[in-house]
Amino acid sequence: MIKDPVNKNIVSQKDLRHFLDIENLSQSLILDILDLAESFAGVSGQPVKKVPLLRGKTIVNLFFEASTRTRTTFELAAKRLSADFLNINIDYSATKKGETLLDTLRNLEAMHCDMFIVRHPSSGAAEFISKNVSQNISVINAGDGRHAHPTQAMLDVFTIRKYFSDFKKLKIAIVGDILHSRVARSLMHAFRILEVPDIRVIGPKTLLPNGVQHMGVTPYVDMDEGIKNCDVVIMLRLQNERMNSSFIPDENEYYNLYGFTPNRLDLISKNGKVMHPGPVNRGVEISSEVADGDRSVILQQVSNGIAVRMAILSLSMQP
Amino acid sequence: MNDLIIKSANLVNPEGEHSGIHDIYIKEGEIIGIDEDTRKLNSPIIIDAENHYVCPGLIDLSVRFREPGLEKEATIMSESKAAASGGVTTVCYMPDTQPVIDTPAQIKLVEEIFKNVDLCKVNVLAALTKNLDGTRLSSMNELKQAGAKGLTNCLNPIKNSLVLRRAMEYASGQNITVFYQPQNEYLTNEGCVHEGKISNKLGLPGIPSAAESVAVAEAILLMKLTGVKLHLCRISCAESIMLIKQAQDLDLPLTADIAIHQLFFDENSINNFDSNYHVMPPFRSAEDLIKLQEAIANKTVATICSDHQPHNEDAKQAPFSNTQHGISSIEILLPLLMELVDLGLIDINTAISSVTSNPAKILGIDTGIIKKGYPADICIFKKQDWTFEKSKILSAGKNTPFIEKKFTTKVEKTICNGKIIYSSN
Repeated sequence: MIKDPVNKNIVSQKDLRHFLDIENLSQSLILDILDLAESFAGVSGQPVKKVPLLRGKTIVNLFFEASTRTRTTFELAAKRLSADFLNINIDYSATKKGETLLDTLRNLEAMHCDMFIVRHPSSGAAEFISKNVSQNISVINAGDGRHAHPTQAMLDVFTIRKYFSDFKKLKIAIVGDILHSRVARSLMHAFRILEVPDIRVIGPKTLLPNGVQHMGVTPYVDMDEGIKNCDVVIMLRLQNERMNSSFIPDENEYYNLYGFTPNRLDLISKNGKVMHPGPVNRGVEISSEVADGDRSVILQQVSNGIAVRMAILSLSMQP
Repeated sequence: MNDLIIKSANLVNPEGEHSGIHDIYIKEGEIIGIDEDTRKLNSPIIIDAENHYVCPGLIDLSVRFREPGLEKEATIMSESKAAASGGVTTVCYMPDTQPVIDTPAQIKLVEEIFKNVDLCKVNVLAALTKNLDGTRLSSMNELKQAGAKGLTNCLNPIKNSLVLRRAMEYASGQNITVFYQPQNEYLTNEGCVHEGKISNKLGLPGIPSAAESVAVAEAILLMKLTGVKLHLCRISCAESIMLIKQAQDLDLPLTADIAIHQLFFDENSINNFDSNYHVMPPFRSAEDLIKLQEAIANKTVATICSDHQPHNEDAKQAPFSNTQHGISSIEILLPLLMELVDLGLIDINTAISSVTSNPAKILGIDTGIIKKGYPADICIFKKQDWTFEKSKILSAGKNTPFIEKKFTTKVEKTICNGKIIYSSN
């Protein structure tokens, strides 16, 4: 197997070795993944919701951090591909007893697993794991620290493509805690690669990374100005712990300044959609009327997550 | 101990009276003459130094040899061998050992181990606050009497500006130098890389340059208030350089140093989460790197140290932010310096004085110069191409981003107190 030295994700243009971040993917590979996901989207609607692509393969969900949506959709994706599947909640097992991350990996390797789906609170953890597993194991990044959440970005892009055929004409805004968000980082890369001409990030200055414009986006502190005429607005969850550490004064002021309230729907484009990677804090970053309204595609994102993850798992699995 | 004659040496001796080609006569550990045998050598060993450079033995202002307490990482024996192979004859020992060096007994213990190892010499910097807790002043007079050459709190924060003021004031009264590593703990927060392009891209928590420059400004103003002898350690950013220059222009006797690796890398080196680039302070922007190199060239910062921090393999085997910071670098200090000379960034006298006469002045020790009556601490080196291979690293710590680097300068012999402590063959 030849590993492309420039691109740690890819073996050839068609196959993935690991799926660690969006940054190094080509536009054509992203589009291929989306097309494959499209073909898997039908599987969930069939009476027998399984295809035998990964029969006999063992996939391990290795979650060092709590998750419901991502963990569950990966599990469903793997099971619909007929793989054997194991959930390991590391928080309550080995590392509590002082075992190092590397030892945990060695032990799991010894059990002859084929793929690790990893979520970890430290940026770079998935890449670290990918460098330290044996050749026949693939690593899928399910979120590492503030760095990347590439499958979430892929499913968001997949969802956007359902409504807008041409990325090169879109105005897209990401709103909220950009500084701490791995989803925002992966989305910025995805949109750049897909040549979205107008990418905006919106939030209070304390939650916008210093110098974020280097990533090819335009920062806005004023939400009304920032979402004006946008085709897609992606709301990020405001984590509770931020409120207690002087990033913002309080929930009310945040909601007034950055909450997606029904009156703000008039500012975005006529066919504009509102997205959210979940879990949603109603009344903090988005009102219930908007979250549950006809411009919101939040639940479609969740369903699309299964098909997109099926595509990524099947492309990344080693023969 | 044999007497020595170093013949036909090309002296690089920035503060000395002699430079160019000379013979050096050494008896009983002392330089007794340049080009003249003043005290009749006793069957001396003759070292032919033709086509070799000869400079004073290097003085390294910051090393961690991990002993006592962390011998699983490194020992004074293992690291002294590494130091000797890098031309280093005197090291400044940081007090953040286990236990902390905050009593005369701890100083004696370290000095005793160095004496038994019998390679390079040690100057201990003792703790500025008891147990480095940032709150209670250490017994500065006792520590000075026991031989401490200065006081430092290393990277441990001082509780507040008042404690820092009192510590400086008291140290000033005892006429002892404070070695202060400027880093505001609140602005540093949980950061592990420079706050900038790379922290944004990799999502690693960033440390703004202001975390350092705010602390530099505070230290300079308190220096003015207290009259302390202040040395700022491990400067990493352009803003700090600007503040240091301003203070020097006001005739404050402020000195500072830069770690050698800071003159080679910027934040972009961390691109693929390689934990060998995890250092504290972090590698800053490309613009900062240029300013640091300029500060060495124009002598705003006149001292360079290795900031040697050996680790065992496990310490670097984790996701980036969970790894220990620091680079093992003492054995390539001279080759790295000479690379800066080769690159035309600094001249050879600036390079050599930054690790010999300048740190000697800061420590107040009689070495760092090749001169009659001074200890025979000498480094002999030559131009030779070689590759820094991991398997040949003498330090117990193999944690360095310089592995496989090609060098053009090689240390041939290191002499400390007239004893040959390293010979390349």
